[in-house]
Amino acid sequence: MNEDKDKRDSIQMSMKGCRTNNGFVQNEDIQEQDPDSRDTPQSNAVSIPAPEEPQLKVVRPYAGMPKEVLFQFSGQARYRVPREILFWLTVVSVFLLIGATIAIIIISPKCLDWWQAGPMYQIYPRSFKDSDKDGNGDLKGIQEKLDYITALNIKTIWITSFYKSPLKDFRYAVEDFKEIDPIFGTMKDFENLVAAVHDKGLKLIIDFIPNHTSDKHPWFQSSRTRSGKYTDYYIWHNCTHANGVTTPPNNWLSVYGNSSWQFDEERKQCYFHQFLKEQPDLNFRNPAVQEEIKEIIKFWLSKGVDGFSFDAVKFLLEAKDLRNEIQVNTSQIPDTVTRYSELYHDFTTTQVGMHDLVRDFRQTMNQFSREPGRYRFMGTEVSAESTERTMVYYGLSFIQEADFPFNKYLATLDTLSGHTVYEAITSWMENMPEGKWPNWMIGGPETSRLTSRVGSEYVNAMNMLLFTLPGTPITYYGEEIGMGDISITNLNERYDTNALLSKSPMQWDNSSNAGFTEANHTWLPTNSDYHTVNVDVQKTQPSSALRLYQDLSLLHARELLLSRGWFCLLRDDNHSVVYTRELDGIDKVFLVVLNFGESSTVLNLQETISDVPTKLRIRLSTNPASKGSDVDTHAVSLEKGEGLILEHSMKTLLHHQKAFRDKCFISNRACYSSVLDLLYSSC
Amino acid sequence: MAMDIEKKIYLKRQLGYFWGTNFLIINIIGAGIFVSPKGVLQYSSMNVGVSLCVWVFCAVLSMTSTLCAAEIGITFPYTVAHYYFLKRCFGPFVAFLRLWTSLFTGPGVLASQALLLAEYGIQPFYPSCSAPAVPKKCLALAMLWIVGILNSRGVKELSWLQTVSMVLKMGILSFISLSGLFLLVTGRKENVRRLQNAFDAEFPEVSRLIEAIFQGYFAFSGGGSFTYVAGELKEPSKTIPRCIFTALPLVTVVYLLANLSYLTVLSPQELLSSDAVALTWTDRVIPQLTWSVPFAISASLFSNLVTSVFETSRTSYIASRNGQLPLLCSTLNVHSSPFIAVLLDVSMGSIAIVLTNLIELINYLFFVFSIWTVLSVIGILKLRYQEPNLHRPYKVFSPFLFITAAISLSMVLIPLIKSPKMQYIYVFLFFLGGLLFYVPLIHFKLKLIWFQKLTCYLQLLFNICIPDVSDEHVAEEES
Repeated sequence: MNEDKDKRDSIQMSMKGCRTNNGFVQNEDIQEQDPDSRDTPQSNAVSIPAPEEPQLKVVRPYAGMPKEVLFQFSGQARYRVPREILFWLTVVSVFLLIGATIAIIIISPKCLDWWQAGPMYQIYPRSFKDSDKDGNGDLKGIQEKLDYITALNIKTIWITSFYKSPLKDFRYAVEDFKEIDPIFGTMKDFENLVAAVHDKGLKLIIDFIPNHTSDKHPWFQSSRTRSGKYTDYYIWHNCTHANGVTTPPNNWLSVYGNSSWQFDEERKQCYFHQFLKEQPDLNFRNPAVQEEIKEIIKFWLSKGVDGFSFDAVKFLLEAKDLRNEIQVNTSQIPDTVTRYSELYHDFTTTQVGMHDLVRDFRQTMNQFSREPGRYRFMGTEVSAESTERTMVYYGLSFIQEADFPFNKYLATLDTLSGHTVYEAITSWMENMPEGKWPNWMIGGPETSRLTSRVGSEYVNAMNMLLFTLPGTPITYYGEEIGMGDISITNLNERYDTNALLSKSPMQWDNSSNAGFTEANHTWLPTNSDYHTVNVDVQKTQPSSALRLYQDLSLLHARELLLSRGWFCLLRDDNHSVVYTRELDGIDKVFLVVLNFGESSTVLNLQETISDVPTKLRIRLSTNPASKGSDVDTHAVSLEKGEGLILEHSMKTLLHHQKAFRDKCFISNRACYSSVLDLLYSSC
Repeated sequence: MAMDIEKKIYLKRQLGYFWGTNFLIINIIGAGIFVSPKGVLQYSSMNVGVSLCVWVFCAVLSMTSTLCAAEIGITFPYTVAHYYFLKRCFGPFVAFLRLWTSLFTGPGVLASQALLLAEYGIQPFYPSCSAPAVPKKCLALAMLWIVGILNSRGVKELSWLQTVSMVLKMGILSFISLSGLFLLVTGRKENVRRLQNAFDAEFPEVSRLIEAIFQGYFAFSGGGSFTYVAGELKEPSKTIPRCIFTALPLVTVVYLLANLSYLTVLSPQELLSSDAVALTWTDRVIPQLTWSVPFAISASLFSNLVTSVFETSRTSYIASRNGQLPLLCSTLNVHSSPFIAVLLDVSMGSIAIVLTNLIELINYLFFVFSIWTVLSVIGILKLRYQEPNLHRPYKVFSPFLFITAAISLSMVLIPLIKSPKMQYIYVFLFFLGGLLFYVPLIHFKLKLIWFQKLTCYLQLLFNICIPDVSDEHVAEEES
């Protein structure tokens, strides 16, 4: 109808056709004489020509004319034709609008899903926040801190294992997959947490460890006694057990060392375990076991869980014929081979059929993914695998597997330099299947914290790297404030001490126990630096790691360049890494320079990009004092651990230039139209 | 031309019981029942039993306020009866302010409904994120213009569309309801257990309970809409009560069964996690149909858009007939449809769609509607006292008047207490603007010569004329 309005404004008024209404119009404000009479609308009286005049006076149109007068004139061509034109213009406009809608839908690229749209935040629940003053973190504590997590612009919360389990292997020896361990709260607490997470627009994923259970799991207890269907739920084999000495069926070793076979007094057979003896492996060649695992997946999905991190996936199947594995050092005496690293594990990991199991899990999760906006995420943990084997977890273009395997290349870097960071990035980007989505982690519960591994000077640069690389950034709790490992001399726990250093309580403020708990003790001591490295203090410091993290996270959320754009990895040297982010339709380009070297460095960017301007504006810096200022591209000076996001406009984007084509990557091509504020894919 | 001259052009009494019932059902069932269960359950502290009781209570409240509107529509059987009523009770200025409010909220409603319709229609193609604004606005404009064209063709030609839409709305909800009953009867353990333990959750506190009632009450809103068509209904004193006592119980039963079905299939937590509960429900029960639900909701909203244009255009038409809007708005086309009024509303709605910030401003005015409801109740009581002998074929039960007034007063006062002051300064300025229009143009009847000429030309261009029969005659014929 906008066209109608415009058309009408341009219509020339015809003076001939109109004159002022001479009819008498009754005044409707006259008070009613009879209070009982009905209120009636005032009608406009029509002028009636005197009977003696009809043959003399020509009737002319006037405002408010009745149909008898109107129809004498409205049928004329000069009124009928515009009327028809306006009508059909409206009809055509409707079809054009519908056509435009359909066209836009067709050319729109696939949206980023929730697991691609923003960072993930990994929480070790025992160390995040204690709400019941027992010195252990719990689910209610996580719920109390959701506002903090939201303030980091986090989209997904990842909670590591909280299942009911004895205290073995950090809760990866699960006693009941459908129960919350009492130390973390109740199932009601979990359901309330899920509701609260979704209420804030966040998503929740949890660990899932299908390979094994605890030896206290009811399944295992029934299997020991050969009860019904549980008889073959685990991998049992005959073995010799005499005089307290067990002779295993073969030379397979546990990840933690020594034989992976354990004699069971009840059943008089040996069972297989690739981790601790308290963690017997399930027999995934038994279809009933597969169904049980799917049932557990459905259980948590129906609780509202948005996805899983599948752990220890490569261990799911083992060779049927129990052949010995080959020694790394063939001259070593077999009896002295006790460490996991002393064997090649060709018969206990990544067996034929293992990926089919993962795909089957994926299909189960797809049953819960049909509802719009409710896609269920699958990530797979991959450790100590070759690049080729890691990438297989993405699945193929015609069959779906994990959404991504977790990328620990940066998290396991011990030596930091421009070269090693570059290598970690290219290892993933060049080998990832086309169209798949990358992710990046700089730490986790199974590695030493970043600060303690490479030094606190690099925290900000690594967070900047995390948020400017393409894909999903994944942050382990505490990395946003630069928490480090704790030092421990003795512990009550029977855990491997080295594995505990990165699991210390979250440092919220500088009150006792860093604000983690009001109890007299904590399950692990807090780091001694919590008076300065804590959330409250860093909130108030403009130059803190937390403030930079929030700025980076906000930039990532706002800039299409970072979420959907091309990634062009330009150069590396002993100190620095240089790359750009760009998107067709946006003139702006982000040029990221990061110094991971031992000392300061000076970069000549004009050698790298010939048509770069001589001055570039700093959009964001690890040193907030320089934000908004300019740098000379002849000599960009970077201190140790310094990083810059430089912003400039570019006529020809790098991924269109022949010289850089091979160095540019993108998962899903898209272009942006600023006029329509639209992403489109036909470009 | 001879046939055209013979055919009388006026708003005719040609709508019967069936049409009226459809009209009411369409007005009441909007998008609310597909999303409101979440709000009601949330403010009932996830107490299933309490939330079902809230729905029953909302139905009763809705019935009381609808019956109050019934007395107005039957005593004054004119199109846009509530406008006549306010004019009769409180004078032309108050009636004008009511009109002034409608002139802005009407297009706001059209724009909101059109955008919502477009969003549901497009969203299935964007499963992972919000649909971009441009295609939503394009589709919303197209739908609004289609509805404008349809409304220009007259009431009779909308009837088939109304019927189809009503069947579609009731069809969706009946399907949900009956499927839920089936699942309940076949007795899967977890389904039955949920309802057996309906009252187990904690009881909500009073303030949250009130909030829950508001959430549910809005899903029932629209019951008073037949005052817009009282002048076009056959035998309004019989038709209106019959329509009310058919439509409202029917909607109540279907709403309750739908909620029962939602809660049979989904746990309270699942229901709270869902943004569109019908969607989640369908995914759970018949996954193959999940993608059809947004389209069904979209098609359902189309009929709401049709009736909204119908209602707002009649408001403009009648106000013009009473001299409070330009003469141009009191014209009808050859289909006896208030073409200019439709054109005006659709144009303003289109502007609101393009400039979506306007919708947010217009939304501030919605709480004002409760003031009009309070005034209506006061007016009914005033007339009973001042004109006890007025012909009243139907009289609403007196306590219902006070219940309705209490609800509406709380809807005025509670936001007033909670909300920031800036909003009410805005509302005050809005009414002041109305006064600035009223004094020169209506009270003193300033005539603008150029506008007279424009009126004349537009009459010829669009072939629209003053109606042949005055509304007074139509009313007299009926009684």
